[in-house]
Amino acid sequence: MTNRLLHSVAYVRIPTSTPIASSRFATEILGLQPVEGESSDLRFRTDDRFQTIVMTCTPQSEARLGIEVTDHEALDAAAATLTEAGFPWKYASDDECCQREVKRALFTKDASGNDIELVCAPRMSARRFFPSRDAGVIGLEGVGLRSVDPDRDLFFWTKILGARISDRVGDITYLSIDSHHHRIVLYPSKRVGLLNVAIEVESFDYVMQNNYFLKERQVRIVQGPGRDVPSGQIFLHFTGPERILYSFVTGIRRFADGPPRARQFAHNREALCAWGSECLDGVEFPELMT
Amino acid sequence: MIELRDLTYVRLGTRDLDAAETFATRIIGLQVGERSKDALYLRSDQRAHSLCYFDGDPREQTVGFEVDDEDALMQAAGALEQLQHRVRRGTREEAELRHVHSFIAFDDLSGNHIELVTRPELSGRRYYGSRDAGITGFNHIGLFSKDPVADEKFWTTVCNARVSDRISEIALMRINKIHHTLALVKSDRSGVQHINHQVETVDDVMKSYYLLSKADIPIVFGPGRHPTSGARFLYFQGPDGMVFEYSCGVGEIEDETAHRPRQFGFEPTSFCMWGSKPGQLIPNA
Repeated sequence: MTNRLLHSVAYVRIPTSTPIASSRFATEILGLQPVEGESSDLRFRTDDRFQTIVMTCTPQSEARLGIEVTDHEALDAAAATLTEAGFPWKYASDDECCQREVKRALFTKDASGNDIELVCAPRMSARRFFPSRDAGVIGLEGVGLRSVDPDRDLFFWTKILGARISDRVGDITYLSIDSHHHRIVLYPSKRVGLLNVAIEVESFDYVMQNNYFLKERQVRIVQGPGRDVPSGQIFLHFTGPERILYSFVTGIRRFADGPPRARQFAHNREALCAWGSECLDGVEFPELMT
Repeated sequence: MIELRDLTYVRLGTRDLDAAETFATRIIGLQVGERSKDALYLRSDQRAHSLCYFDGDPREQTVGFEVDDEDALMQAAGALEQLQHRVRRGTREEAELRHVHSFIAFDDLSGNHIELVTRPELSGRRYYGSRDAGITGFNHIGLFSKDPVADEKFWTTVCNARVSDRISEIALMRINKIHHTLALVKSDRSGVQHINHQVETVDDVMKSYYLLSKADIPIVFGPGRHPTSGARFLYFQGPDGMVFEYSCGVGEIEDETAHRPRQFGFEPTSFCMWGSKPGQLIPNA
């Protein structure tokens, strides 16, 4: 049964202090298609939507996650539930909606303080997606979020927004909002913010092709190629400018009626990668270590 | 024409049988079928053995192919002698050591030791690996060739091999539906270039990649994917410098009559479509 409130992961807004480097990375390395036109943001496509990965030239701010809700009633319902539960929120201004290419939006924060934007009617592109290189990109799959207050964050995601827990590895919690095993993963952490942005590619062939491509370009691979145990998703984590963690992913398990009952895996090496890959940067990304 | 039915075994000399056994079991994941003072028989599938290490010179390498019966063996001997190959009939003791009924031995044009065998033994027990490597069986070999064009002619006109694809002069040849059982790699030397065992899934290839890397086993090539056969692979180095391969998803040639071999250029992407480089495995690639 798919979630009534949330529809999909719509976009991520990532602050950058090096717009030129970030833009080059997005096109040359990630293979995304830049969106033409006047904007203070650097906008990129991963699929048939108008913009999904956006870099904002506001270096002091934090990353923001955009989630599309099912309809306008859902947005109003979310506003009411947030108020009731004591989570701060406000409606986005017309300018802010314009900038995001959405009809309406609501800004809130989870318990950890991660910026979450709930949006209605994000703009679709009228043109086919044409990536900058043959990276096999087919979409923005999801994100990993750092959590300093896992219990209350879970309350926010499951009780207020209606996401479902699909599986756990230790206290790492996988959240589902549609037929995919998960779209959002909560990682207990000492800090807040986005952990990674997962970009879906066509097949395992593309994860591997990108693996060797990244190596040749001396992009820092943090972990992988690997395979997530609970979801079967194949991943490759690597860093871009500003040390943002990106992941090329493919092959996530899908369930017609959403995932079955959540299972608990022990938080050890075996559960973090079915193949045996390990995180190579435990300093920057301790959330990926045991 | 000599009708080869199956690739049966590889026999390798070694000065250290214990090291070979440790590597074959702990690393590759093969099962010991039999071990004596001077020979080690390893299983990878229903066969009694598919790889045999014997106490001897590592340069002594032999490849065995199965033929139908005694008649086929006699005809093969005749055909080979007509072509000036020296053919030796194996003794009863030698046949027992190979777990076959009978065999003849000869050298191909490059000096590779080839044996044609009848009635190779199967085991009553199924194969059970020494570690969870996902091995489904011994699949194919690469052979060094001093003259790939001449060698290809031998395998495809004197024997029943067909070329499935070529990478420059490297012929990938089949003797049944499997894309290739034999690949010829140009070199100044003769001998077995690599030994392939199939594994169940690409997960097995990737798991072995991390396990072997952690165990400091030299990874020679991969993880990668051959554009020719479509197989996902990993090549690694074992005792006496022998290269072993895991792969999964080797394609099949369905239509014998219609298939035409494709030609790939001599460059790294012809060996791996993902971008891994073959290094010394394919000299000068």
